[in-house]
Amino acid sequence: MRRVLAVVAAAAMVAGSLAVRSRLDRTSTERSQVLRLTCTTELTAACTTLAHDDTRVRLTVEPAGTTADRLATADGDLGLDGWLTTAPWPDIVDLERGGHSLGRLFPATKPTLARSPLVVAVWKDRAAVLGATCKGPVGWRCLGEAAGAGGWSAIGGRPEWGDVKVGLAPPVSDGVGLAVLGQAVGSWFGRPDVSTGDLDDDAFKTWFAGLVRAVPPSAASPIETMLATGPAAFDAAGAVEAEAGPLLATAARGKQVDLLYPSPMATADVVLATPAVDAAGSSASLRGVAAGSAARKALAGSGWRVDGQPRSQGVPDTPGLPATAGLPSPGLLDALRARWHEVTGR
Amino acid sequence: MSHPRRAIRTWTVLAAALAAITVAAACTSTGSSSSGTAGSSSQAVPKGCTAVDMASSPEKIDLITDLARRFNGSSASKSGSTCAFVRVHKQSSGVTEQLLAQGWPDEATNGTRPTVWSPASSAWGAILDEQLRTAGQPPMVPTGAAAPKPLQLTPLVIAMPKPMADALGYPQTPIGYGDILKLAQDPAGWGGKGHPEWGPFRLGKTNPNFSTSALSATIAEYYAATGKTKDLSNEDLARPEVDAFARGVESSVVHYGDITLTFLNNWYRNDARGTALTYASAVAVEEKSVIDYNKGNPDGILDPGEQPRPPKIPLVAIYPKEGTLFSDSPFIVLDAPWVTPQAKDASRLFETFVLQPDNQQRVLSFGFRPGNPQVAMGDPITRANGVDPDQPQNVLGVPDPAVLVKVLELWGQQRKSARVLMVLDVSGSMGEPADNQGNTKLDLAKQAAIDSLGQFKPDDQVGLRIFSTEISATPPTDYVDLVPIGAVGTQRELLATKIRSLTPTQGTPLYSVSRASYTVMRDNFDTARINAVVLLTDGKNEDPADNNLDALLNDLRAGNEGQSSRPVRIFPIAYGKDADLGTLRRIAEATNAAAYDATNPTTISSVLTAVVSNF
Repeated sequence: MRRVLAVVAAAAMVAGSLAVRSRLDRTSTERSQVLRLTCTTELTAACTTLAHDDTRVRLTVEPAGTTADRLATADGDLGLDGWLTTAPWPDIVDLERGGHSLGRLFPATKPTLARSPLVVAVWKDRAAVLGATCKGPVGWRCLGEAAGAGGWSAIGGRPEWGDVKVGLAPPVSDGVGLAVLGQAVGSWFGRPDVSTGDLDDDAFKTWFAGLVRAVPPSAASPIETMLATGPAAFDAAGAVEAEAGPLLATAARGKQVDLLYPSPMATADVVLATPAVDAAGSSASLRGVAAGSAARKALAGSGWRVDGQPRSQGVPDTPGLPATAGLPSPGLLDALRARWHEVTGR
Repeated sequence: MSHPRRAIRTWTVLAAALAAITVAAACTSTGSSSSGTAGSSSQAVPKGCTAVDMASSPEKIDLITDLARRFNGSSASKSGSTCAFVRVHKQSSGVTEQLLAQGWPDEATNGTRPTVWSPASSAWGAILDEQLRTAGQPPMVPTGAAAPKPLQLTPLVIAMPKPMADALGYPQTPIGYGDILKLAQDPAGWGGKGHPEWGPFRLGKTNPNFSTSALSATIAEYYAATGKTKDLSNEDLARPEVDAFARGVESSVVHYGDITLTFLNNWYRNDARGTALTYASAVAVEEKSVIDYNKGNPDGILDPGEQPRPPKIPLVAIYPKEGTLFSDSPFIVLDAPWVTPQAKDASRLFETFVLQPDNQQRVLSFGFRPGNPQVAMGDPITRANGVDPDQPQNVLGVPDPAVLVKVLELWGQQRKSARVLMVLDVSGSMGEPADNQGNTKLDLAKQAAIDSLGQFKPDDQVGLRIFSTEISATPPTDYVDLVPIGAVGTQRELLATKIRSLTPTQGTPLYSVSRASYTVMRDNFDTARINAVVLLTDGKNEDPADNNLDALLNDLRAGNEGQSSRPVRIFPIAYGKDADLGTLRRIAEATNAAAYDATNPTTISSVLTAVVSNF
């Protein structure tokens, strides 16, 4: 009996040690696993928090356009296990890859992690003049028409305000900048389902030229520039609520600015795009990280609307969000990106 | 389609033009040194901390040094395992840009390689990256999330004495460069505004090849001429009416120069004598300078024990109605090979610290606008200090590099012409050794003088006079005119040949030659030109027959004051260790000019370059 017990005990000890060893090995593997996350500039705050909380995450932050241009022709190692960005940039990449006879990188469906409406911040005195000119809510179509009208004095504003100056992050490289431009173009046509052929409409081209003239070259965050320099730099700026709301809530000049939600509402939606090929399982791990509560809190804490998470300071509960992003198609956005570069050289 | 070769040339010319004489700015005796280290460079880095060496442009050096002192050792300098220790180095923007473009060679000579660079304007970062790009190297200025943030802002303004701004109806009546052109071209001058006692309209503007604020002012001038506020093009610049506009504005310039402090110091001295309104009518400066001036601190630096004394006539900052440009002091954490990830992390701690609201309040107290939008503008950016927190209403777009180069090229042709007498000391002491390569002081001065001729445009008029006691057997015995004043375009070689042939002779009749040179220039005054004497000397007055300095200064001052004055500026250069810099400074001040310090003879080349920037 003793022998039996001894054998059982020995077997149990061996099994236990194997189990412990296995667990240790697994933990060690997890610990040594590197998750290469590339983040779009607008998501810097949330991504920095994520990388701080999870030591496996190796973070690269760069403009969406920079990542997209690299991935559009990438073959072999992409240099990332996941790309946290705003839709539809991953689809734009796959569209461009198709043009280069390269295969898709990302699955068609990518869960939305957070959302934020596109907004326009306008100095209140300018907003009053625009309101009269637009004969209703200020939208991008009206803003573009005002920009092309020949300065503030032509639309009832004060002559010393000079030209209508609109802040827009570079649509060629900036995720939100391209989304805002897409919303503006949809606003002119009165529908988001704009086709590339529509862009050749003469009246549209005139309007577009006026808008382009109104947008001075600017850094990635026109609204921050606007609040630091006052109306000298921009009379209005397109942005995402996640950035504009918290900034306006704390800026010294915040109360001098109206935050408008142009109609029809459009949103920037945060997605994690992970490559379809995931031999090491790193992409799957990243998806787990992104779906976790830490990521949700980090996104909500940096101004994005996340279901079930409290709003950040300056981010209101209303207006509610539409069911879809309300942006033109990836193909149209890509065409706008090219058109913008062609017209402005930047 | 890009043109790499042209792009390289474009950026090289632009950067060289902008950078060249920020070095020389250090030489103006009335200003402060523009390069060097601000105190803390030799500080030992505490154990466990990472050194953050920061190159800062000079105009904010006191502020950044103060902030670094507060940061080091504070809890803000530590985060997790990172501990930062900031050491601030005063470096002109252009010099730093050139060194970075070259990969920062020779730390022993050029100082410690910076981790962080904060030039006066982010334009310098763009110039650096473009230079690196054309050289096939990666950029050093980060983009995206790490893109530099402005630490502070200050707009370019036109500073004008309050009575003059009142006479123009400002601020109820907006003023722009077009209005300045009208005033400058009105034969009645200020008489057309009811104030003939103020004489003609006189504009003070530095040289855009040397000064960032001057470059901004010149860009603004061209924008005003075109009616545009962005996207200035070479085609715009080529239009005849733009050329005429620029020439018209430049025609009203008193003189140019490398730093705006020369104008502000001269204005301040004239204010004390009650002649501020006839020295200059307006000067293009940064808003911060107006605040400093009105507080009685025209150079922005208070020496220990110095009590600021507000001027009798304050200045008003005019924000040109066409728009203006901001200097934005970006905080650039360099993507340079020598900057480690630890150093970057440490740098970010200081950036965060500087942008904190409390510290942005300090930025404000130094007369800059906060870079952090959370901090409201307040004192000293108030109307009581002559500035307007609600202005400017429009900013102008920075032109692309090729256009900037064209701006500088055209300015060289359109600027006010000069009529200059170069007066060189050939006393015996000029034969003393000046360097370890066997050159005498005269050898170095001759080469520098010959090189400086290249800075004049063909229709500038330059003459050459040498002086030493008994240099001539017939009266006047103290000087000889080797080349009469004439167009540089026709006598550049003659001037160079004569300079090459100079040899040292006797003593130094400083006062008599100063008076004689001043008198001959005043007697032949040309109202369409900047009239000036460049006086290079290595000694003290050694002429017993003319040794009354006060009498000389009174004579010089009398000719330079009043609404109908014929101002002849004397720009003396104190050359070599025995030069009488104090006396030369007084001579310069008596003619509303500036003295230059070349007491180290090997600096004479850069000093002469700075002197000629006045024309």
